[in-house]
Amino acid sequence: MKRITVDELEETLIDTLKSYGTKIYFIDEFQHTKGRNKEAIINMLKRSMLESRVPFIPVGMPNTLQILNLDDQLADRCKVEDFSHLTYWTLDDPTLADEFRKFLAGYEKFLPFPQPSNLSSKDMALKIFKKVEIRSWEKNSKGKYVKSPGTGKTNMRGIARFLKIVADNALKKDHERIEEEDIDSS
Amino acid sequence: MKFKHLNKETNEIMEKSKELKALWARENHFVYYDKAIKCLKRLEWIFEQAFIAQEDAFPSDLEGLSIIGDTGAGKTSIIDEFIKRHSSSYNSSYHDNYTKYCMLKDSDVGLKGLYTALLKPFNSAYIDAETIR
Repeated sequence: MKRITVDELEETLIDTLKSYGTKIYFIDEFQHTKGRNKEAIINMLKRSMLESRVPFIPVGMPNTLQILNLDDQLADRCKVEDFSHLTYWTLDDPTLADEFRKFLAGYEKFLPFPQPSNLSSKDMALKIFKKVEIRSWEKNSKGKYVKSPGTGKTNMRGIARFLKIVADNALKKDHERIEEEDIDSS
Repeated sequence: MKFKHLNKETNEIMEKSKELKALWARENHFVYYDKAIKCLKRLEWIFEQAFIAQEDAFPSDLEGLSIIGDTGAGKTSIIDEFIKRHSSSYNSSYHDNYTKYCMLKDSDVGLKGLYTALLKPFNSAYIDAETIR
């Protein structure tokens, strides 16, 4: 079997990107870009992007930023903007609290109930937030695992998952809208 | 629309059975919140620019965008939405090769691992790490 070199692989990648007519390439879990020579990896990505003329979109955990910053040019070509740094939502920050409530309002448009549930109202939003607040499991003094106090933060995935369950419960009870009891019991 | 608090798609679901409504509620739905809208707008710009950048000129305008955030913050849903809206099934003028996606694994170590992962979405013959020296 013919063995190919990394140089040939780079050429193959560039040729493939060009010949397939790719216009945008998402590289998810970018924080897994690792190895003994991170600089070489970052250099290769920059070269592949420039030579293929296909924009790369690195996507990953916040430590992705440290990897990108190894090369000023790549960091400049693939900038992290304020809006592309996705953060958890909290009620302590007015902007993030507002975004959280807007998300609830947007999600409600997908929930098939004849009456508005007003999920984004202050009371309902607070009730939902308490249910979806991120908590971890901690060992207590008796060696048993218990849920930690809330972190004061929540994320989009957790909210969407919770609203699906709440909606399902409310539909099963033939409710005209999502009631507070549906949130409490979910 | 009969139900003004619902969107068009959900209004249509309101005419269906309880079972279909439950299925609809269980599906993943993309919500356009502020940061997501801005990300999608920038991705659209980058996508359109790529048609120009692939000319012979030096790619001075070639730019990407990094999307970062903790787990569950909504990164994947933004990408999914963009790819869905740029697929041939959504818009017949698009080719499915226009958007490509790869997910790096913890085991994709070093240059070889990275190339292997980046070539995989193209079903390349060079994805077998055993053949790489």
